[in-house]
Amino acid sequence: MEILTLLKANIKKKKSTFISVALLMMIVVSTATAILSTRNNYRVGIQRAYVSSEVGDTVIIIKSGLLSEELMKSVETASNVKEVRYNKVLTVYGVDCGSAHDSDMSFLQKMHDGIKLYNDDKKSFCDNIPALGHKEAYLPLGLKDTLNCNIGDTIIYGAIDGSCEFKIKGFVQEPSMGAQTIGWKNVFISDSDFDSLNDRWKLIDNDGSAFDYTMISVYMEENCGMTSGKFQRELNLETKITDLAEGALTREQTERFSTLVPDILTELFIVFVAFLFIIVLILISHSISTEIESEYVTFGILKSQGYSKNRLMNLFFAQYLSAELLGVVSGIILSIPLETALTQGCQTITGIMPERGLSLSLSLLLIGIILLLSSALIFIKALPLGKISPVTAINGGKNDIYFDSRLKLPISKKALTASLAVRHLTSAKRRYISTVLISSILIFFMLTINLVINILTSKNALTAIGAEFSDVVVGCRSEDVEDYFQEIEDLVSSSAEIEKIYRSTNIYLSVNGENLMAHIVKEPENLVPILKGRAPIYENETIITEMVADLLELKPGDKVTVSHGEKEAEYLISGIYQSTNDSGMCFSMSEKAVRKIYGNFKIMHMGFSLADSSKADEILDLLNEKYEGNDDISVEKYDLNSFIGAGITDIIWLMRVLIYIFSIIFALVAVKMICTRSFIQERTDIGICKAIGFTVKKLRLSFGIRFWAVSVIGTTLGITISLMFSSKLLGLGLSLMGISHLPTQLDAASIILSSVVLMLCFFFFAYQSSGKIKKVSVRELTVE
Amino acid sequence: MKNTVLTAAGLCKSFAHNGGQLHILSHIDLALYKGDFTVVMGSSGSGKSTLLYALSGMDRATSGSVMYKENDLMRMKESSLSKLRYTDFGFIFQQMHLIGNLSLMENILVSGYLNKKNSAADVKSRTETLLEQMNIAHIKTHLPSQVSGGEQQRCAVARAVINEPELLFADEPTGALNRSNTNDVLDLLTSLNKNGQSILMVTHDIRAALRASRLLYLEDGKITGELCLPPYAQEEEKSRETQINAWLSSMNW
Repeated sequence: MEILTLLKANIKKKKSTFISVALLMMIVVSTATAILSTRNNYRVGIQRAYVSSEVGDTVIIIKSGLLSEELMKSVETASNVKEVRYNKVLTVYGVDCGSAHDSDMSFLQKMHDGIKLYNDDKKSFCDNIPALGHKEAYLPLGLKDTLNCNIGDTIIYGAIDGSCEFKIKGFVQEPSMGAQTIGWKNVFISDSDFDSLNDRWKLIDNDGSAFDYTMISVYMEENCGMTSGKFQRELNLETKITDLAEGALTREQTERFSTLVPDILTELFIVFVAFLFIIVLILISHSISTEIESEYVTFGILKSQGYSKNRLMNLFFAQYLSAELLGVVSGIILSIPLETALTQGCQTITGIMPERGLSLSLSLLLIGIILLLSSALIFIKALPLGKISPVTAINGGKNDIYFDSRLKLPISKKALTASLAVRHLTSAKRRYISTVLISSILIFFMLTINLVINILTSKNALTAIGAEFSDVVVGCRSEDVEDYFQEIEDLVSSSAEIEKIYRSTNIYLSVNGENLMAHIVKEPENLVPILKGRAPIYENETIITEMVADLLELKPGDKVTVSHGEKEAEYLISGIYQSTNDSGMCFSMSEKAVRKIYGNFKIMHMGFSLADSSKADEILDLLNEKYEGNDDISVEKYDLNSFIGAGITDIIWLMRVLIYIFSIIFALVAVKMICTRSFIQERTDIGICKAIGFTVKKLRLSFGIRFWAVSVIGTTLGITISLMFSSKLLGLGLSLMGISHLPTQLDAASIILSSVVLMLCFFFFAYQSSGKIKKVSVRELTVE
Repeated sequence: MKNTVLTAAGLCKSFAHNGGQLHILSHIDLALYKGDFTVVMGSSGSGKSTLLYALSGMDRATSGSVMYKENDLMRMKESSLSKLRYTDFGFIFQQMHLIGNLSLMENILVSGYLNKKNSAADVKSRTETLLEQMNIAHIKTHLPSQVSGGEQQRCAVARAVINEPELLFADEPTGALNRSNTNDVLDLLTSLNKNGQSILMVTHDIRAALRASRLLYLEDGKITGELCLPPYAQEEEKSRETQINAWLSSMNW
C-alpha cells in the first residue's frame, strides 16, 4: 500500500516525465506493432493467394510454336513434377492509359479459376465475377498505380497489328505476376475477344511466333524437398524447357519481387523504430539518474524510515513500467488505424489481398521484449539507490553537481549569455551526453531517409547504383536498326546535350540451367558499377551480379554455360557488377557475345540520358514528328516517378515525413525531459542570475543556446556516422534489390536542411521548456 | 540634511494563510539615506528579510510604494528591475550563492559585464582591484566549492559592488560564517561604507550591528525603534556595544 501512496505522489510530482515516457512508448509501440503486423499481413496474404490461385511452383512463358508434344511430355514426366497446366496467352507490348505508359510485355488471356475480383473498396472480393463483355478487361491491381487508372478507363495495348483497346471493368488479384514490381502482367479479357484477336493476328503472323505464347504452370511433388528455384533449375537441365522459353518465374522469385519494396521499407522503418526505443531507454536512464541525484535527500529519509533498497527499486519499477504500460496500451490502439493504412499501401504494391488486423503473437512478443529490456535498464540504473546513506541525505545530500572542467572557455562580455550557456554545458557534460546521443540518432535517420530519396530521385545516383535511367527511350523493330539509331542519335544531339546513351535489350537466357535476365549491351565497357574484375568486353565473356554469383556459387574467372533454345556456349566470368535489372538477378554480356547463342541478335532499344531532363518533351515531339506513321519506331519518355513507380515514391516520401515528425516529437520530449531536470538542478543558479540582473529572456536564451550547442555536437556526430554508415545500412536493406554498394550521395542541402531543422527544434524546445524560469523568485535564495 | 536614496511608504506584505491573510509587513514608512550603514534587526519572523527584498525590488510588496530615483519599484517592469540590479543595487546573500561552475573571478566579471556602460577592460581591471581588496586574488581561478565560506562571501561582496551600486543590500551576510570570517566580511562592508557606500543590512548578530550608523528594529512587521550612531570606530566598539544592547533591551530583544 505504501508503494501505491508513494507511486501516486511520484507520478503527480513528475507527471511530465510520466507523460513523456508514455507518449514516446506509444509512438514506438504503435509504429512497431503496425509495421510488424503489416509485414506479416502481406506475407500471409501472398501465401494464401498462391494456394487459392493454384500458382505453379514455376511459371514458364514459351512461344506456343516451340511447345512440341515431345517437350510437353518430357516436362510432364520429369523428376519431381506433380502436375503441369497449360494456358494459352496472347502477347501484347506496352500499354497506355491516358498519359501513363508502361512498356512491359503483357499476356492477354481468358479468365480462369483462382483469379479473384476485387470489390470497389479493394478490401474484399466479389462473390460472383461478372462475365467480361466485348472490349472489357480485368487488370491486376498492381497495374492500377503504375497506370494511374480506374474502372471505366480505356487502356491501349501495342499489338502486332497496331493496337487493341479495352475498357477496365475491374481489378483482380493475380498472384503470379500481379505485383507492381513485376514487369510482365496477365490481363484478362472475354473468351470471344481472345478468340477473335487470336484469329485476327494469325492472319498477320501465321505461325503466331510474335504473339502466341503458352504459360506453363509446373507443380512439383510436395515432398521432394526442393526450393522452387532448384526445382526449375533441375527441370531445365532435364528438359531444356526454360532455355527455349521467353522467361520463367518461380514462386520464390514472384514472392521476392512482390514483397521487395514493402520488405525494404518496413525493414528500414523497423531499424528506425528500434533506435527510437533506444532513445526511450536513454531518456529513462537519464531520468532515473537525475531523479536519484535530485531526490537524494528524500530517498535517504525514506531509508531512515525503514525503506529497503528493493522497496525503493520497486517504486521505480512501478513508476516507469506503469508509464510504459500506458504507452503500450495506447500504442496498440493507435496501431490499428496505422496498420490499416500501411497494409493498404502495401496492397497497391503487391496487388494481393493482405490479411487484416494486428498480429497478436507478434505484438505480444514485441511488448514482452520492450518491457523486459526496460525492466533490465531500470534495475541497472536504480542500483545506486543501495549506496544512498541516510546520514549524508539528512545532512543535505550530495551538492556537488559541477566539476572543474578542462574545457573552460572564458566568459566574454560580448556574448555573455552564450558563454555562460557554454560554461554550463562544459561543466555538466554528463548531463548532456544523452541529448548528444539522441540528436545524433535522429539526424542519422533523417539523413538516411534523405539518402534513399536522393538515390531514387537523382539520375546520377541511380546510374551509380547500376540503374540505366533514360529520359527518352527509342525502340526499333526494323532490320535496319543500326541506321535508324545513328539517325536518331544525330537528331537528338542536334537538339539537346546527351549525357549518356544506353544501347541495350533485356532477354531471358539460362545460366547453368537457371533462367535469368540477360542485359545485352552494345558498349559493355560502359557498364557500371563493376565491383570486381572488369567489363565483359570480349565475345566469350559475361559479367554477373553478386546475387547471381551467390545463387550459382560463381566467381570471376569461372566458366558458365549460357543457353538459349538449342544453342549454348561457354563464357568466362570477367567480373561482378551491380544492376537493378530484375532486382539484381541478372547478368550482362555484349551484343557480339550473345550472338554466339542467339543468331543475329540485334539491340532494339536505345535510351538517352539528357544533360537537361526538361528537354525530354521537346525530343519526344521531335522524334514523334519525324517518325509519325513509322510502326517500326516507338518513342517513350520517362521521368523518375515513372521509373521508380509512383506508389513506391509516395511511400518513401511518406516515410520521410514520418521520420521527420517522429524525430521532432522525440526531440521535443527529450529536450523537455532533460531541460526540466536541468531546471530543477539549476534552480538556485537561476535565482542567483536573476538577483544579479539577468532577465528571464536572457536566462531562457541561455537554456536554448545550451541545447542548441548540444544538438550541434550531436548533429555533427550523427552526420559523421551517417556519412560512414548510412549507405552501408541501406546497402543491407537494398541488397534484396541487388544493390549492396551504394554511393554516399548525401548532398550538402540535405545535410544542412536536416541539421538546421533539428538544431532549431532543440533551441526552441529548450527555450520553450525553460519558461518556468519566470516563476523562480529570488526569494527562494533566502534562508529564514 | 542627508540625501534620501530610497523611500518606502505604506509598505505592506501579506500571504494567504489558512484561509486568512498573514501580514508580514504592515504599513512601513521608511527612508534610506546616502552614505548610511543601516542595519535592520528584529526577532525571527519579524519580517526583516521580507522588508529587505521588498525594498530592493527582488520581491514585490502587496501594497505601498518603494520610490527610487522617482520610480516606484512596485510598478516597474521585471526587465527594468533586472537592469536596476546591475546598475544601481548590489545584493549579498546569507548563503553567498555564487554560481558554482564559474571561478571566483568569473562570478564577479559576469555581474560587471551585465552593465552595458562598463567596458570589458574596465570590468576586468576593477575585478582585479576588488579581488586584491577582498584578499582573494590568489584564489581567483578557484571554483566556489574549492574555497572557504568566508572567501566565498568576500567574493559575493565583490560581486555586489562591481557595478558601484548606489545601494548595497545584505541579507545576514555573516549568518553562515565563523567568527574570523565574520569579522573579515564586516570589515569589508565597513570600509566600503567609509568610502561612501550606502548599505542596508539585515542581521540578528550584534557584532554586525556594531558597524551600523543607523539601527532599525522591526517587530511584527512594523518598525518599532530607531537608533542613530556615529560612524563605526573600532576603538569605540565596547561603548557602542553597550549602547546597542541597552537599546535592544528596550525593544524587548
